[in-house]
Amino acid sequence: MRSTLLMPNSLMSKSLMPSIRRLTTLGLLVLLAGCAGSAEIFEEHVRTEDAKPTDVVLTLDVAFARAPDFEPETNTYNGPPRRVEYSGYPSLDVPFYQKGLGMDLGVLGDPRALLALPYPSPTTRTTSAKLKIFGERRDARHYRFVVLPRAGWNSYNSFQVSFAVNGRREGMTFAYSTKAVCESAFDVTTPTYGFGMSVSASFANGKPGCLMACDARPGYPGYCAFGADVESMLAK
Amino acid sequence: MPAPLFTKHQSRTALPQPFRATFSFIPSKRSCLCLALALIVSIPVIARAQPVASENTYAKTVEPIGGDFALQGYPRSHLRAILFRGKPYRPLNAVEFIHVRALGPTQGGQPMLVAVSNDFMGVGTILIAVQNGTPLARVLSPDVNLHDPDMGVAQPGRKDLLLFTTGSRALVTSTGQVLWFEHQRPKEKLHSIPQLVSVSPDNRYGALLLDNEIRLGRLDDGPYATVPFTKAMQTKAFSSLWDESSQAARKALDAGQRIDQRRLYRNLKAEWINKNFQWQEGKSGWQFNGYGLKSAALPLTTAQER
Repeated sequence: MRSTLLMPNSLMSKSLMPSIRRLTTLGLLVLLAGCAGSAEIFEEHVRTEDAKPTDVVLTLDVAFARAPDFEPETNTYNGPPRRVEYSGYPSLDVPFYQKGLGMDLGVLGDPRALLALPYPSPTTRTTSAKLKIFGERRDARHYRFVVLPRAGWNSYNSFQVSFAVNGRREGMTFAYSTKAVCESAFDVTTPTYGFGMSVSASFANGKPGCLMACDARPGYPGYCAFGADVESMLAK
Repeated sequence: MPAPLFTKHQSRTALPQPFRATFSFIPSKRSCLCLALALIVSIPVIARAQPVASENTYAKTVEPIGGDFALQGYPRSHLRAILFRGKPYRPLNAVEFIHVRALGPTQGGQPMLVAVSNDFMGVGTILIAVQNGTPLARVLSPDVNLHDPDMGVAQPGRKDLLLFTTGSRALVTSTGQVLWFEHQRPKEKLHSIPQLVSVSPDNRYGALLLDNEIRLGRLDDGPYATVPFTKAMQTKAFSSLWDESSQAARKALDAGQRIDQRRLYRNLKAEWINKNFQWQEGKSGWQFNGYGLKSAALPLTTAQER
C-alpha cells in the first residue's frame, strides 16, 4: 500500500520539476513587479543642514540676482511612515528612477467575441521618485544646496533649483557629471521670468566634474534639452 | 393560423442572396486577378521611380541656420527640429517647431533664435540664446497657435521693440533682451491679468495694463507708479477696437485664415495706448502720461525693504 503510494508520488515530483521552476520564476517576476510598484514614490524632504557630508554628491552655491522668498515652514505628518515636509524657501528637486518588471494584459483573439483569451505579459516599467533638498541660507541672496543620492534609486544626473520671487515660482534645471570635466561656475537666466542667478558647483572629495544648464521645462528636471544622454553631451 | 406559417415559409424561401453573391463573386475575382497582374507589371516602374523620390522628398534634410545651429526635418513637412552641434536640442521639452529664424544679434558667438513650437507639447514663442556654450530658452509668449503664431507686435514709435501682449513680455530685437515687469507689490494679490503695453525709451521701465489702472514697473524690481486709467475709461476707449478686431477676424475667415481675435484685440489696445500716452522723464523717474491723466507714485516698497 505504502509502496504503491510512493511510486506515483516520486513520478509526479519528477514530472512537476520544470513546472515548479516555472512557478519560481513567475514568483520572482511578481516579486520584482512588486518592487517597481510599491516603492516610496512620495516626495522626500531633506534639509541641506541635515545632510551627511559623506553622502553629498555635489555642493551647489547659488547667488540669486533678486532675493528669493524666505518664509520657512515645517509640516509634520504622523502617518505610518512619519514624515516631515518643509516649504517656503529655495530648494532642489532631484528626480530618480527605477526600472522594474510589471505586467501588461494582452488579449489573444477578438475581444468582441467570447473567444478572447487575456494573458499577462511581462514588461519593463519605470518608476520615478523625487527628493526635495532645501537650501541653507547664507544671506538674503546666497544659498547653498547639496545633491544627495536616494538608496535603491538611479539618478538622472540632473536637478532643478526651485525658488520664488514675490510669489512667482521659477525653476532652473541643471545637469551634472562626475566623469566629464568643465567650468562648473557660470551665470544663467531663468526661462519664465528671466531672474538672473550665478551658480558654482563643487563635487565630492574635491574631484573635478561638470555642471551644465539643462534647459528643461520647469518642473521636468531629468528631461534635458540635449536628451537623456547627459554624459555624452557633457563629455563633448 | 396557416396565414403566418405561409408567410414564414415564403420568407424562408425568398432568400436567394447567397446564390446571387456567388454569381457576383466571379467577376470580382477576375477583376482582382487583373489588378494583381497590373500591379506585377507596374512593380519595376515603381521601383525605378522610388529612389529618385526618396532622395527628394522622403529623407530628412539638415539645413544650417547660422552658428552651430541647424534645422532638421522632412522637406514636405513644415515641422523642424533644432540641432545644436549636430545633436537634437529640445528647449523646454519642445521637440518640433513650425517657425525658427535668427533674430539678428548674436550672443556667445552664436545667433539668437526666435522659435515657435508645434502645438503638441508646445511652449509657444521662445527666444534661444547661447550662454556659456549652452543654449538657453526664454518664453516670449505662451500662446500655442499653429494657424496664427504669436510673432509680437511692434510698439508704435519704436523700431527695435516687439510687444508680446499675451505673455506680457517684450523683446528688444537689436540686443535680444527679453523684458518682463512685475506688476504686484510685495504681498499684494491683484486678480487682473497684466498686459505689457509699452516700454520706456531706455528699455528699463514698462507700462502694464490692469483692469482698473496702468501700473508702471521697473525692470528687476516692482511697480513704482500708477496711472488712473479706470475700467470705465478703458471700456469707452476700447469699444471701437473690439469691433475692429472682430471685423478683421471675419475678413480673415472669409479669406480662409484663422486668426486669434483676442490677441489682435490686445495688440490693438497696446497700439491705442502708445498713441494716446507718452513716456516723460520727470524728477521721480519715467512717467507715462496722456489722455488727460498723470502718473502718481505708489507708496514706496522696493526690493531692499523686504
